[in-house]
Amino acid sequence: MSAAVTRTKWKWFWAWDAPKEEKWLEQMAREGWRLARGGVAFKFVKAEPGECRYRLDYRTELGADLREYIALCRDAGWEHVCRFSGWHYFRTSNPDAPELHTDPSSLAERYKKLLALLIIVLALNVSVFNTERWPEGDRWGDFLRVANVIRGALVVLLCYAVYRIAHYIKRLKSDSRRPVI
Amino acid sequence: MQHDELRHVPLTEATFLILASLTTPKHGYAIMQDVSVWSEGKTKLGPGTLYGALTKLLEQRLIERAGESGSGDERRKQYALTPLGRRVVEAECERLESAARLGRRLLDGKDGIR
Repeated sequence: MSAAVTRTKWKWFWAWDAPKEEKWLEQMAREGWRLARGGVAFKFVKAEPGECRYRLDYRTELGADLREYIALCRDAGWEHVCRFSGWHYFRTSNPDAPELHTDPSSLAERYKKLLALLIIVLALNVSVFNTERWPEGDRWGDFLRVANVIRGALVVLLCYAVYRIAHYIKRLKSDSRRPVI
Repeated sequence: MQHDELRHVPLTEATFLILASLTTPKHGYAIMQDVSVWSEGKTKLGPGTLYGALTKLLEQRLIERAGESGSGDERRKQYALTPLGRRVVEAECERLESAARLGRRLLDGKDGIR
């Protein structure tokens, strides 16, 4: 048996661009590349070209609860492909398999969990190190000055992410024409 | 509290179907199948939406874990109604029945208020 042909693609997707990421993975499947590892360094394995659906799900469950959720998805026709931190990649080639989230508001609940996490990280970074005690050129003082710049940039990025995800949640909620739960 | 169940009605259609399905203990996928059959395929419950609903219903103590069915890879956790959950389903049935009675009476051209 010959070794499987694989390829790695580097690509960045924002959390609120999950549908774009799913479409890209589906296009890769059409071109004969099956996802093996997600995240940033996507790994694909050569396979028969075909139609399938990919869905990303952000989960905070751990251990037995997570296993139970994955088993439920498998029962419903979804294969758990891989995970990247809290992001779980599911795939199905069964057109009858229901969407993971038949009610967009349950998907919005997932993004609220992510939003809460980002707000905590943001809150922890809203402060500056006092560098007045150290003169220019002092190693420790310079380190703190660089750290301030990095944390400042992080705060800006996090503010942007919080804004975009909050916006995405709002859109998902208005999508739920018929509230299920 | 005696009328605790009234805080939970009215139920959405999907919540009602999930609770009704759990009058006998069963696992998640069996609930999905029940809901699909009963609504003639009109209400489909995805695993993400169902799992979110089950988590919420567990927190509200309308349902509880009821052991496991099967073995090995086929092992699935089961859920069942709590006594409170059963009272909520009963309260919802009564609400729907009286709404249906009123609607019927008005459609038949009789005065709704008696």
